[in-house]
Amino acid sequence: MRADGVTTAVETVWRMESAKIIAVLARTVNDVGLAEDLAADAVVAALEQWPDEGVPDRPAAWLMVTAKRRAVDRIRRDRNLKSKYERLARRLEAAGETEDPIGEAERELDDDIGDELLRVIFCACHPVLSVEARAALTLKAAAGLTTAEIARAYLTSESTVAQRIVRAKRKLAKAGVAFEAPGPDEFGERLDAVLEVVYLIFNEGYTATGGRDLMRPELCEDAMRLAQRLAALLPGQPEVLGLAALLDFQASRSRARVDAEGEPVPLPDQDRSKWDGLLVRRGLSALHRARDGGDDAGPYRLQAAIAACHARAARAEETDWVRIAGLYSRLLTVQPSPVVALNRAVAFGMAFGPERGLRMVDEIADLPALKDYHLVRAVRGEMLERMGRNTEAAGAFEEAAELTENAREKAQMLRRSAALRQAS
Amino acid sequence: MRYLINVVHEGPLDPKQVPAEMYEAMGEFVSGLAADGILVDAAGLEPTDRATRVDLHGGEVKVVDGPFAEAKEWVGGYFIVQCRSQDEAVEIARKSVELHRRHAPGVELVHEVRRIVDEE
Repeated sequence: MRADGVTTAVETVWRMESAKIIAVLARTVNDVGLAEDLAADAVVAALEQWPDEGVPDRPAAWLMVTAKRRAVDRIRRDRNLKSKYERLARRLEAAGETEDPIGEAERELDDDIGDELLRVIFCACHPVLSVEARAALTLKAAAGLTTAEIARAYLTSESTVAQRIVRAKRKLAKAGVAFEAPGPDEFGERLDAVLEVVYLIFNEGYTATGGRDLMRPELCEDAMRLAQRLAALLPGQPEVLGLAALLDFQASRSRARVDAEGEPVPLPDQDRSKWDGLLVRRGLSALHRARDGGDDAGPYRLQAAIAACHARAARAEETDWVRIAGLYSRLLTVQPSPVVALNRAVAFGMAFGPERGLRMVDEIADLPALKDYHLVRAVRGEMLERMGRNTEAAGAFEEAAELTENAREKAQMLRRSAALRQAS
Repeated sequence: MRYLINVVHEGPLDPKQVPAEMYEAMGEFVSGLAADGILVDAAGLEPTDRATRVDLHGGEVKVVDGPFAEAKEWVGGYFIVQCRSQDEAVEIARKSVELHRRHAPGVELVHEVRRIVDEE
């Protein structure tokens, strides 16, 4: 087989099976970092051997057996590992001598390893790690991305990502992070850390902070995949379902959020026929299941509920702004932030008239976080325009243009102010 | 990227002849795809004797009710999956075919993997 064909085969197996392989290995060696190393060793072996020997019938099991053999080699070779893992090496060696190691590995992979998968994610998102390190390690160990793919997604070099992962694994080892799920006393906090990582991975793809593309859809898909997996592993956690729903709703609009010139299109002006109905449906179903978790909704569920209001409206005029306003009020109590307060003001303005919205914006406009925030001025401009106070509205849009660095937004604001000045 | 996997049966298939294990195994397979975050949608379709075709031939529009005796192949169901490459989608299709081989011996079918065109 040609080498590039083998590379594709290895990549496909890795993508589909690596999370499971790493989870099973981590259970054996009781260490996520080491498990990930061993799995990576096995991939190197596959790239060496498959071109000559062909892709094995059961490639995932093959990788698993190879990883275990490499584990024994490594432990024998590395003095630091030797003292810690000598007994394990003996056990693995003994297990390797069974008649059908491939069949054995296949059974292990077919076992219900949900708990192990979950532990891998919890370890990769451990709070001792920086958020970037968490994202990289999670994508590598739990989402089946190669180092090269992570580097492409984050517009950085492969060696940077590789180093980030090595350092993260070292840090986990040094901090003595055990391969276990958090206990009940810290579960909530640790789950928040996991959800945050998934959300940030999605946003990195959705808003593409760097580079020419407005979106990097693959990264969004990886985050959605992680969210779905978490929702399956933690079926009773409404915030996990909320996050899964939120990502589906946001992704459902990706085709409509920029126009042909690459200009961002605001929600009310989007062509709703371009929204992805299948993702909307999957999101609504997750949100519906989240309801079984009770009425005390957390931030992801509330944001998903807000997104669902938009998704349910076939036309912008049909949006249930009263409900959205109420949801923002609840969101503000569980996640008090100036930006949420601003969005709440917008929603109240839509639901109960621009006078009410303007009053609420002016109440928060002097907060330090919002004082120089261009969107505050833009929102003021919009409310004033709806009230027919065109000269003031034009002034607000000009202030907004002054405050934003984004050339496209600046131009948009200046266009609106010019139109208003002409009209008055 | 998204792929539509059409499950195409060759010749008539009586749902009553499909063993219960097949439905069970397929249910498990589909929830596994959901748990892996791959599944966007999946469904089985009613047999074609209850289908209707709206044909355009030679400029003529015709509405024809089933059954369609002349049809050699028909779609019995589909998956829509989200994955990174066609190889991955093919692997999913292969696993589903494997399930049919194991649990519904004698059934002949084709899984057709088609990329869904997405304007981006």
